Amino acid sequence: MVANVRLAQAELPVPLALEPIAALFDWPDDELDEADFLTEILDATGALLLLDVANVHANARNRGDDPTALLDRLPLERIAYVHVAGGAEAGGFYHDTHTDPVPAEVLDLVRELCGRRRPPALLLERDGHYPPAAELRGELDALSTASGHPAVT
Amino acid sequence: MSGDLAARQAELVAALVAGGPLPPGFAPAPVEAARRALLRKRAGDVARHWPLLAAGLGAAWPTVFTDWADRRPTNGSLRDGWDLARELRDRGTLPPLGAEELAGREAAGRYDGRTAPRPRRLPALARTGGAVAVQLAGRVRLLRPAPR
Repeated sequence: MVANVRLAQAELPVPLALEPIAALFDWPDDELDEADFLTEILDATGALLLLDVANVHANARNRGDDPTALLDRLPLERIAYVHVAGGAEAGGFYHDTHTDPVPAEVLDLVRELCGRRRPPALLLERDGHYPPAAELRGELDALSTASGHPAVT
Repeated sequence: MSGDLAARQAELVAALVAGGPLPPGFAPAPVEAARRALLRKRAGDVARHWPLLAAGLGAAWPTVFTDWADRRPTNGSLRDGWDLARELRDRGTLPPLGAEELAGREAAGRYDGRTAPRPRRLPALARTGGAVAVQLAGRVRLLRPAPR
């Protein structure tokens, strides 16, 4: 994986940022937890971190972990920017759907993150089931309020 | 990546998208949840390729698609939607909007159900579920809508 990242970096005229995914299950005999894995691969490649706060919430919720504990262990100074998205509970799991509203827990996590270190920018991801413009603007405003960045609406 | 890890990853992918058995060590319920989530993602992608078929089925679309697609590895969204539309037609449950979309696709392309569809070079007429579509020089026109 490090070799693949280096290969991409060598061909790209811009810095590369890596985004950890939302996963519903873990590899059975994994040797590193998420924070160790990310720190190691960022150190080995010099890549930046594209942190998806909704993924942090989803993983912590589905593993029964504390999401703020992960924030405390990630190299927040390496964040290029942040993704935020909505999701929904279904069948006992939280699904990072990008087609539902951003839940309060994810906004709380944005607040937690920005209280530790405010990233340069945040992006609201929405891939379908688009709500009326006023609702979307409301989500962007809530993101601005939670992050301390100026409103963009 | 070691060959062993690659083989185990391939087993996991097969379990998630091709009806393969759950590889040892994985928690069954979370893997099943991921498998169902991938089926729903497929439903969304096929709906983008077959918007009238999905709209015709309305709220039933995700269930109709995932029931059909379960244990059936994808052949790409264009073919998946085409195969499903033909099956619904044969079962007599293809909604009018879906029949019109299928008629248009059948007039525009030749699809044998096994390999990628190819555009028809010659003019063609297609009838599906009461809908009639004609294709001339690559342009498709619905001649008769499906009965409502």
